[in-house]
Amino acid sequence: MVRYQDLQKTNWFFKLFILMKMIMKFVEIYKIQNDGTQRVMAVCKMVGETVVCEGEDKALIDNLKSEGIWDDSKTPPQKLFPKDGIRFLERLNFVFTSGYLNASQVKEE
Amino acid sequence: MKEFLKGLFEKKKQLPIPKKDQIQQQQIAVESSNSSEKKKKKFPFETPEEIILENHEKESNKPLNGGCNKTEFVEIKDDGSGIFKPKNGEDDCGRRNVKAGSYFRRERASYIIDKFLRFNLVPPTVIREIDGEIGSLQQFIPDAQTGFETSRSELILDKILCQQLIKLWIFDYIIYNSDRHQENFLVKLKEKKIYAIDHGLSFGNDYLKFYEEFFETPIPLEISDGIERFLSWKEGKELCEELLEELISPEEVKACMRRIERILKIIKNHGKIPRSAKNELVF
Repeated sequence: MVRYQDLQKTNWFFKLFILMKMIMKFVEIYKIQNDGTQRVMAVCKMVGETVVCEGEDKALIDNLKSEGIWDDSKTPPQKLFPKDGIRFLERLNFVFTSGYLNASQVKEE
Repeated sequence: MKEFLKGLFEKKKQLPIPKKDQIQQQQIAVESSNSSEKKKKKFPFETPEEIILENHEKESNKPLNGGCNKTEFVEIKDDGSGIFKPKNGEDDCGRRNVKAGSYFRRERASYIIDKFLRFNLVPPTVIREIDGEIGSLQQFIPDAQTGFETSRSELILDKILCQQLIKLWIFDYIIYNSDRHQENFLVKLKEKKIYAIDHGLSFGNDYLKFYEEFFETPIPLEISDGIERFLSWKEGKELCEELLEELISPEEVKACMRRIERILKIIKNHGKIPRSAKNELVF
């Protein structure tokens, strides 16, 4: 973990770079319930250069890892996997859109 | 006629193959309904679920979070619920060929094809206006998992579910669905039933992704029977084309009909889709 004291010792460009790294990017995947409410089923977040997905549904997490998702903006479409990092994260919102499982846009915290 | 057609499309039942005279009766019935409603073609297989979706008052609607297209959960007064996808909430989601603003019509067109071919994969889907917005409203399937929440091997190993996946594979070719992935079908494991959803990107000429696993797999007779019955029912085919032309372009309708003929020919010749036929199946 980066400490603020460490940041103070470095130059401004490096400080900015580290701060950018500290902003966590993530996507939430929501599952619809029978009454129409949604609950967070999984969270996929950037960890370093790769994406890590966590959630209670093992099959969903396993499928995201092993099957990946399609990037249809490319011709022919390409598969993206968590190892593809931000491209995978950004594409989730385009894949999970049926209403039954919807993915948020990339959020930051 | 209603009873006969209703019987043909009842859920969870293996559909009997109609005899020639039954088909003739059906044809006559469609002809007479055509003549009485020349202006707007009536969908002959309208189910009670469709009537409810189309006509019953909306109880409430909740916009759903996430997804690049707008989706809403709609509760129908006294009877069930649906997923509403308004035209104005459609986004091209990075696609090139199928234009946003036409997805809701393609959802309905896919349902019509499903009904005419008797595949029983697509939940009842209608076009209606909710709060001044037009869009597609599809019956909500409670307690369903998406394909992403199930293990693919579990589905393939189950004979009944696997046969439905093969049917889905053929269906996707017929409607030229460029957007089938694990999130776009639902599974009810206990009932051993698969539902096909999300057909907004069908009938266009986007790149078609074929699941490789079903090439060379024997095609269940039920599938070729449904297609053959449809093609041999001239008036039904014409009616289907007319209904589709209200939703998608005449070229897209023609292309769809050609694909139905082509796929049947291949199945009849080989009993399966040979891998070598892959190139002739894509644009």
